[in-house]
Amino acid sequence: MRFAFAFFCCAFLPAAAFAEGGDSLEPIELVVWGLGEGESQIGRVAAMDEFERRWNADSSRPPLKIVKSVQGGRMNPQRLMTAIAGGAPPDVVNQDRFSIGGWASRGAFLPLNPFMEADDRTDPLAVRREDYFEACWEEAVYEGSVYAVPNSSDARVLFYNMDLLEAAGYVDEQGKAKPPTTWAELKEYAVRLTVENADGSYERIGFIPNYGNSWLYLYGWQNEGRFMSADGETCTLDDPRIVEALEYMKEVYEALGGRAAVESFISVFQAGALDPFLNGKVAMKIDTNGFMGTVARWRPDLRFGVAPAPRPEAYADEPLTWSGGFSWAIPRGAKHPDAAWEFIRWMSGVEAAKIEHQALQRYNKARGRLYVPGISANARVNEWTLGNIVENSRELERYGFAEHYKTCVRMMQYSRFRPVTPVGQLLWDEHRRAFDRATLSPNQFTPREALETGAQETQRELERLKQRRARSPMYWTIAVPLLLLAVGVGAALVFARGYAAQQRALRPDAKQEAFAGYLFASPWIFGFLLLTIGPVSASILLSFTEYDALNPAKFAGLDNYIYLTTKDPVFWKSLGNTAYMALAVPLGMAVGLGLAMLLSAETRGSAAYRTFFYLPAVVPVVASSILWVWVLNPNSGLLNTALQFVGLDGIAESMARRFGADGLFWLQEESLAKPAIVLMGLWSAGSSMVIWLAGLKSVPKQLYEAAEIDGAGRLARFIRITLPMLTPYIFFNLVMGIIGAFQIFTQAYVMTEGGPADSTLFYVYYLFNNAFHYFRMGYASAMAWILFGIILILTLIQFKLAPRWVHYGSSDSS
Amino acid sequence: MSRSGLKRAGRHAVLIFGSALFALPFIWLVSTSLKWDRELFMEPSSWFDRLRPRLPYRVLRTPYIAERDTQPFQKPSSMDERKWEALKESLESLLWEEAQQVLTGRDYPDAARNALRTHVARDLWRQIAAEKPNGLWNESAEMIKAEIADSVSYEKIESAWSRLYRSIRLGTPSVQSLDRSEYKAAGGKWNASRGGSLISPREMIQEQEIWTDYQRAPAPPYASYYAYEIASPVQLSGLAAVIVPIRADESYHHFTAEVEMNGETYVSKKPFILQNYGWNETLFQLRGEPLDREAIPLEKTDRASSVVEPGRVKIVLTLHRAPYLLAAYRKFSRNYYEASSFVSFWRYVLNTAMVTALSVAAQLLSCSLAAYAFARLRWPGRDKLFFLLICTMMLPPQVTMVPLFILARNLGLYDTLHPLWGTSLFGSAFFIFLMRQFLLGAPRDLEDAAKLDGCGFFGLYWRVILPLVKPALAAVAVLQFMGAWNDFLSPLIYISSESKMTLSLGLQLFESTSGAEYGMLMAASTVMTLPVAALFFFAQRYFIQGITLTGIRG
Repeated sequence: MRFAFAFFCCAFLPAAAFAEGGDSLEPIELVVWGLGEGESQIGRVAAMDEFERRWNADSSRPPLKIVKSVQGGRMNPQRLMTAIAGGAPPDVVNQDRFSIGGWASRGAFLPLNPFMEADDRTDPLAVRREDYFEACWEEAVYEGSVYAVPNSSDARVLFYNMDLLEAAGYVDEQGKAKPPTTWAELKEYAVRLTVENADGSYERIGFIPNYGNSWLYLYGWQNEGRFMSADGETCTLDDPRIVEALEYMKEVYEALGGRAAVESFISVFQAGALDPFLNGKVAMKIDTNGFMGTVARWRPDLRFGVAPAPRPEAYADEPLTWSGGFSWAIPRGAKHPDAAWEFIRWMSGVEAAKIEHQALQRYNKARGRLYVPGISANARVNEWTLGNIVENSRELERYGFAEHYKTCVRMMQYSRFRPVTPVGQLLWDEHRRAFDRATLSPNQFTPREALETGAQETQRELERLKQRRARSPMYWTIAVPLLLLAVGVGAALVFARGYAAQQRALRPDAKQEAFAGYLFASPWIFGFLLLTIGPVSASILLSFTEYDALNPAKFAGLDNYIYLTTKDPVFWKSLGNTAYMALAVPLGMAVGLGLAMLLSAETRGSAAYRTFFYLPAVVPVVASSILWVWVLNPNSGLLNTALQFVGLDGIAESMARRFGADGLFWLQEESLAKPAIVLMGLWSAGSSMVIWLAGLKSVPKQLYEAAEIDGAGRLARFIRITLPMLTPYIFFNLVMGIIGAFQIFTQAYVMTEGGPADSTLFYVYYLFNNAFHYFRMGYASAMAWILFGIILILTLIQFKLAPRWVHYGSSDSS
Repeated sequence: MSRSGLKRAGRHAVLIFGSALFALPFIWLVSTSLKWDRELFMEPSSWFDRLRPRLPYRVLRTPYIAERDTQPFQKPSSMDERKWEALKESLESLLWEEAQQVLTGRDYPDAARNALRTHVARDLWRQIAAEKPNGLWNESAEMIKAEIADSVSYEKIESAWSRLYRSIRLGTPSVQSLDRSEYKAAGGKWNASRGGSLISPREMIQEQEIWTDYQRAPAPPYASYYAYEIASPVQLSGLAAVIVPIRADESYHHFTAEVEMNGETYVSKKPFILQNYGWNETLFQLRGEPLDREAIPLEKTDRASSVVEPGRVKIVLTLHRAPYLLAAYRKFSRNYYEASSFVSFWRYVLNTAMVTALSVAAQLLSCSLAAYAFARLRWPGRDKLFFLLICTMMLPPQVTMVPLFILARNLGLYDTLHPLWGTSLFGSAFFIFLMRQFLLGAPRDLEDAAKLDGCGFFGLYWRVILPLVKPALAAVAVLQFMGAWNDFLSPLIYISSESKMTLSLGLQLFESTSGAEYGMLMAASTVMTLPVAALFFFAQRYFIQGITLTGIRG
């Protein structure tokens, strides 16, 4: 054991070396999360450094250091939630404004009114409501209290390619492109500007309703629809005006040839570089002003125009837009709320904006790029930006960006914003789901039905939240001892039986062997007791509660389980999706085994070959997901090109049609998205290949030699020798494959976000959404336990069946 | 060739094809990391093009024509073949004639004339053909020509011109004071200060174009000089930086700068590389904290200067030709350099390497011990515990996330790297299972012999079991290495400050909702992938060795 001890020490020592040393000066460490990814952080960091400099210039204050982190609110909600629930929240978080309602209603953020009231209003840094656009400010207010100070904002407008409009004859008196102003016109333009190739594929599409950034939300508002009642008690997603809006979107898609076909046309590199608007593949799109930055970076000389998005005839004269954006909030439990408020004040002011813009401008100019600033929620900041950045730039003027920028800022006064409600995220997901259902499965759902279903789901959640208040708290003092007792009794029973059996064996070294066994297994046993039993017990108990991770749990009995199995259609859908992936496990195993057999021979270069085959398994997901979108692109993607090359495209397409798809639109068709993900999995079969290789190596050579002498053919040798000898590996890969299939998450999270129409919403993904997006931790725990049960049963069955076919013999059995 | 030779060749062919297919993500990753902005944007004409990063232009004179940025005239898909042949002939002259109306006032070196004609016409055709409805191509040739001539607009010619005609231009310098205010220099002009240097005769507002033939250089490295004298609007002692707007031409040649004032000469410490195609505000910094990450520092030299007049500043830019190999290196390595300065890249590499090494070591020890206990030793409750162990594999990680976080925080491990590897000390169910399965299939003879020799259980583990499970150890090491190296969820939750981030988190920094830094992302991903691939390459050999060694028995 001396060795083990020495090893433990070696492992700990270097670790201790890079632990933080304590500081006696007690400086403030202001933790700020969510700077935003990409270049946007560069400006923020510059402004933050200046804040730090100014703070530390005043020697009467304790020294301050900002601990910055890019990841934050939106993409990684689990991060903020674990941090707040675990009592270690950041001091400031840059949070997507639309989620403020959800978090604030659960008490996750500090109300900022007391800070604002204490401020001197004449201070140039004071945060004053009147400086902000109403839509931005109100989106951060929940039940009368301000929970965040808005920073960035945006306006959705119609972008149109002037050359294409002019070529099609859509011009005004001066011969300049004239954008559509009504829904009817928009639809007409969309169809007229669409060009098809001889083979029926698109050369260009005029306009795609939900491409860019518009969603049903914008169309709903354009038609004066309301998504929530004024008192916030009722979800009105099925408002007839919203139904009309969805019907309009569906009509436009149908006029163009169906949503899957249209979307497959535009599925390229993700946003940015290869945006089809930039190369004239799409003539018009609705997007935020941020899209101007994309144009400026990749195609500054593109002749495009910006106009308010068209509305129905009746409201065509009243411009309207939708604004979103981010905001600074102070999480409950922040260690330095006062410094955090100082920080927010500074970051919200004109001075900071100045530094931010200048840094960004320089960053872009150093790369030969044009810099188009974003819009702020603070009107004073916009004024400065307009005068000093936009109107000061010859190139922005020359390419017309300055004028477009002003149009977008003007639109800010006509902004709508998403309803501030505790169920904001759910409403968003349901609104998206309704759109998917109505446009992708029109035979199952009319727009009205789709929206009614969504409204019901959201309403049910609102009711649940109301009921929550009436529920009794969780009886932890009863539940925990009860659980502990059960676990203890169970363990005692199991071990007593085992012990008795052991005593009966009465071998001389049995005691010693038992001691060694416990000792050797002790790291794992200890870890199991510490890291698994506790958390797992907690989650078992939580599955009987309503718990949002931010407030005390309330006892809910079996409600979660009952609701899941009887009232939640998405639960069943996600389970079905996951089962599909489990059924594909043998396919992956076969490919892995095939690769291993191909590579098992030790020939020249086999190490290199193996490495090549293994590569897809090690490329980071962030990078490979971009590749996959492009490989699966229906028009120019590798997969369809290859199918065409070998002449299988016809067969594949007719098969796809039998499954209800309109073509080989891999990630756009409900019926093809899962096969596409299976296919992705096959590409990284290299990881299971390792285990197969090991298995093939373990088959004794003599067996083959003997068989060859007996005159057995290749196939016979494979079936009689290889397969039986591989059974332990087959068993292993099967068990692990099924467990892995049931836990599949990343691919869908990164690439499809569960779509299209929930077809890749896998079980764990839905669980994740419940836990971290909808604040239904108890519900998610119940889901986890159901999943656990399913996997357990499947694995048990496999273990029970194993002795019938798994052959653990070593060479002496041959 | 013999039959077995043919067979071998066939096998290799299959393997090479398979390797190409499976290595595609990696090849793509590397090739994308070698591309810069507009190159990423260009829609490639073929698959090969998509995977092939372009070499920089071999620029022998400036201005030059970006010949590879246009494509030969392409027939609209619905046009009749014969009509096209007839039209194609006249396209170049037709379009160039139209373009002349705008371009006549422009000076350009004679050497560029022919190339300019061809390529401007091609680019105009590309633009016009894309926006025309298919119906037009069925009309008469005359009609088509008239329509095309009609479609040539000022904007289209400008667009073609600015894409294809690449020149270096210098703008009016400005100065920045220590309090970060910027002042434009009034009046003045750039002068070519030595023979061979030339400034375009064309009159331009606030900018001047450089014309130079690098080949006529007396001796490499060829250099030409441009000087500008200004009266500084700020006190020279309060001068922080000189800013020169330079329009680069993507030739990967470079400028060095000298700033003279008060009888002293300052020299730039690194070159300004002409790597973008567009205007750059180049900041040459004299003193003070680095104003930003792009600033080029200036260093005082012993050389005296003739500029002694108070308030006068002279800026001398020297244009150097980079050998083509250097230009190519600069182009291909650009994303790598940019990525490493965009984020604290090497810090992340270090953190990740630390965590990975520790977790692999911890995992190997604890898992092999436990696997031995589970596979070979008999002790009460063993099978039940093993059953529990299998069960833990089925737990989705989300279940234990929040409680584990609370635990780590209470142990004071939040925002440290320890939670990222510490759990490995307790072994992982998956790896224990893997090794146990392995041991079950392995022979017991050696153990029995060692036992007869009186070897204790630890001795058995150390001398017999560990060598026996080497292949499994290798597999576990590789798998754990990959797992820890690429782990995203744990660092996301346990790490708060930037300085403790790992690579997988760091990669996210290159992505954003509007316009990711794709080139940098791919460069960083390549750096992240290589060690794993290399490890696999070497470890798998060991792994196979291990298997053949343990296979020696009767």
